[in-house]
Amino acid sequence: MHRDNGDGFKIRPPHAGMISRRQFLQRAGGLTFCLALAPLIGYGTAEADELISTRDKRAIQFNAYVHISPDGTVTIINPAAEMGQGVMTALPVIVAEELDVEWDDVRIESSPPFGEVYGDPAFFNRIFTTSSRTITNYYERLRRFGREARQVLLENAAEEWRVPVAELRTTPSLVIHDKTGRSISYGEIAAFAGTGAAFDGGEPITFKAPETYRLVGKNIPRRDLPGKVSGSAEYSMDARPGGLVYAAVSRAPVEGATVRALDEHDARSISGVIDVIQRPESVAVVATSYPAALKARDRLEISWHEVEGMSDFDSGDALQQHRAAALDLSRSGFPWDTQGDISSLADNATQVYAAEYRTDYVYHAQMEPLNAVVSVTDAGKKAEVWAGTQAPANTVEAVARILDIPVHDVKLNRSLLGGGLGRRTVPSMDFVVDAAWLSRVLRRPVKVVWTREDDLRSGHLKPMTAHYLRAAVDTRGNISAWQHRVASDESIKMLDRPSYEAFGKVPVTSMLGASHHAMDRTLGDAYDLPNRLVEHVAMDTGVRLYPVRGVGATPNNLAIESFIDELAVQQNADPVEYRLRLLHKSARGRRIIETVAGMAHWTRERHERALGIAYTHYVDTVAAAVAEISFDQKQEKITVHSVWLAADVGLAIQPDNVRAQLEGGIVHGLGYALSERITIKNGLIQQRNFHDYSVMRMADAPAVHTELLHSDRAPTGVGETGSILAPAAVANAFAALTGRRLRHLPFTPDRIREVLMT
Amino acid sequence: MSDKIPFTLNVNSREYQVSVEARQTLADVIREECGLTGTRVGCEHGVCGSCTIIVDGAPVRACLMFAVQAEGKEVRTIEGMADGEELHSVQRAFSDNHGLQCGFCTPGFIMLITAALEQNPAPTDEEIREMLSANLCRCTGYQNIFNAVKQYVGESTETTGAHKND
Repeated sequence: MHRDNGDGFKIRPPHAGMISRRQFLQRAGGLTFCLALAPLIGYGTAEADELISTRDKRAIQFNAYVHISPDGTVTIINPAAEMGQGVMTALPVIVAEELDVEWDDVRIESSPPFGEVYGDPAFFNRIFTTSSRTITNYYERLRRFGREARQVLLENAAEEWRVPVAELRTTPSLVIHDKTGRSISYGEIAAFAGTGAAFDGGEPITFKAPETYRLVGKNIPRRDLPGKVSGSAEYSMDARPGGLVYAAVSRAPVEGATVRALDEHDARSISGVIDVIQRPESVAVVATSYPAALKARDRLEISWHEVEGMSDFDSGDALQQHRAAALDLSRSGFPWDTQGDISSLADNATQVYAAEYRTDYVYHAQMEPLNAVVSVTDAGKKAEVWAGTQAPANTVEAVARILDIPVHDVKLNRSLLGGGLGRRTVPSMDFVVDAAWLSRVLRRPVKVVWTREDDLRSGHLKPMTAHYLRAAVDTRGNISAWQHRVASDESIKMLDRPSYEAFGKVPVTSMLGASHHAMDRTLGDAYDLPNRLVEHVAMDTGVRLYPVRGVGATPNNLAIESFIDELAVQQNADPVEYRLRLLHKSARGRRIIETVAGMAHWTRERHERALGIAYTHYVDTVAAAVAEISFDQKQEKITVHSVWLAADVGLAIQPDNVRAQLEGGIVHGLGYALSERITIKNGLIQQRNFHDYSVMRMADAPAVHTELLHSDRAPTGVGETGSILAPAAVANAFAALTGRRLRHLPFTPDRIREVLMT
Repeated sequence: MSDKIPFTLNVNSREYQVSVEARQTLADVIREECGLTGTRVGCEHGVCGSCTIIVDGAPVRACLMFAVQAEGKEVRTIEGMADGEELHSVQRAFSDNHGLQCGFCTPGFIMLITAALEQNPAPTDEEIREMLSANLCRCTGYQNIFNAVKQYVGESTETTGAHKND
């Protein structure tokens, strides 16, 4: 029997018993008003209490997200990692709106690494800033916390003034009683809150009417910008605790390899070297300066034990195996999204079309090379960590594990991230733990900085994929059956085993964006393909893989949207018209397609240029992009002149920031389309630095025109949308321009040449 | 022991007495000896431009220059841009135009633009695009950085009366 394991899968929590859950919340986001007055403290985690009390001992904790000081300062807790996506401002804006606080009174502080109330419900209530999900997953909870803290303020004022709560209202940071003309500030309430009678609450929450929003939807300046333009923003790389020493680490060239032989003599002769320390899977050089550590590391002579199957691994051969697996219909796949009956694919009376596509490995290429600083103290019993992490609990646990100390004895300073793109969630925390064990051995703080070469050599790659698609088209031109086979290695199977098991060992990242239904499993804004089988053919490569921005949705969108275009051509249908037909049940989808077609002047004739369109409903954000390209025969170069993108993201908390995410995502996706590619020979990643791993530069970047279509739905994610749409839009534009179909991502000059010659 | 070379390094009009190894890069010394961590290092091979600073008026990859080569020269870093609380207009243009996301590449871009526009105060759009192509940004898609430069060029040509030529 086929089971439907669509994008809206059920999960069960992993990591059980890792951290004892506290009783401060019966269920996240659904708390009642019994939290209120006497006493207010103790409502968050002990870590949060400590966190806040170290800064302002008089601040009253109204709830886990809102703390108000008698001086009127309102501290709002941000649980998510700030890696450039603006979430450290956007999440507090949601709280502040419902709290009805003056934005200038708000200061923002990072949450502790643990605590169910700070965790993401879609990721087992652990903080996991990934997958375009932060705003979506925290939205309902944060507006409740904001509203409920406001309610506590009202109750306090009512108690103080002996008036009914219903006679009170708020203006920003003030509670007002119109009948008597009295007002009291939030800070003044905080001065006596906690001594009044307990509020028993219980009424349902009434949220603000959207038309009265002062912050949501208004483009509040990002709080991280001033430090980032002045240079004072602190990344983990900038931490400099006293007595700091520097380490450069040689790591296993392939996962699981161990040191066979080491000659460290020459390395030790370099001035400034403090020690050379070996572990089974790595060799570290510690020195008084980073250049000295690097120079000494170059002098290490290390040979590694081979890992079976990896020493002759070749990515070109592997892709051929992926391709063969996708094409081999006798090899049944894991049924990810099934509906109806696809037997018409075998019916001689129908037209059956088939196509295949492939994508290469890509690498995160976040701008800040991986790094961390760890200071182990108290004879190895405590540790302080500076790290930019997308999964702070993973970070604390990894350090605790390697030091064999309780997690509560690890203090994490959650630094800004110079980009994350998925790399900094990995449970091994390979970029953090080296500093921890070295600090324990040396009894002083250690900074480990990866060079860009280290970062590439130990890259955790987005899996290569091969796709085989078939469609049966009936006499009226309708798609009567759809089959999409994806052959790939699942990106979390090896390096995030806890999540993989928690998700039920299904190919969860591989198949994102491949389903033709919304996250709640309704048709939603997907193409109407009533008879379909979308399946995953599992490959086992042993290569270090990990989710990278766009995850499986980028290759899946390339395959789906290219194939849709090919079917449109077969039907002599315009690609826009054809998609409108497939979206006949989705008014939102049609509106997006029509909008983007209008923006791009889709029907206008172009000279030596052509347009291509792609559509997605990934994470229920409905979006489409049109790319305008030209092709230079001599240079074998595709130039992308413009990209138009229309998106319905529901409620946009920070619209300008949403646009920035979409624009940046498009250019990231154009890197996927045209140049980004990792190859492996003899088990080793071949690319070394940005000269041979080519990220798009300004000269090649198009003008991106973005339009947000607002709707009253709750906010949906935008972090990956652009990077998902861009490759298919380019492929479709190239086909429109030349009549030839690019099937292998990235569309490098040699592949373009090959396609044009056949 | 190491053979360290002592000398005076002038950064942002301040003199730092430093003692460095011959092979130490200017980026490393600025960050670790002077404690000016706003200069970021992204690739150590001069490819990404994150570590761009200004040396005697010219944009320089601080990861490709040895610190000792900067003796007697005037070094400017991101920390020397603002006048007290008052941001430099390139910094303000970045802020106004949301010309950054993760911010790691931002100081390098700001220093590149500042130096380039001091040399050519009224660049064409094409010249701006070419200039910005020296540095990498993984987040923004460059458009808002381009817009920031346009704002800055507009402001500075207004005040200096320089001719706009695009």
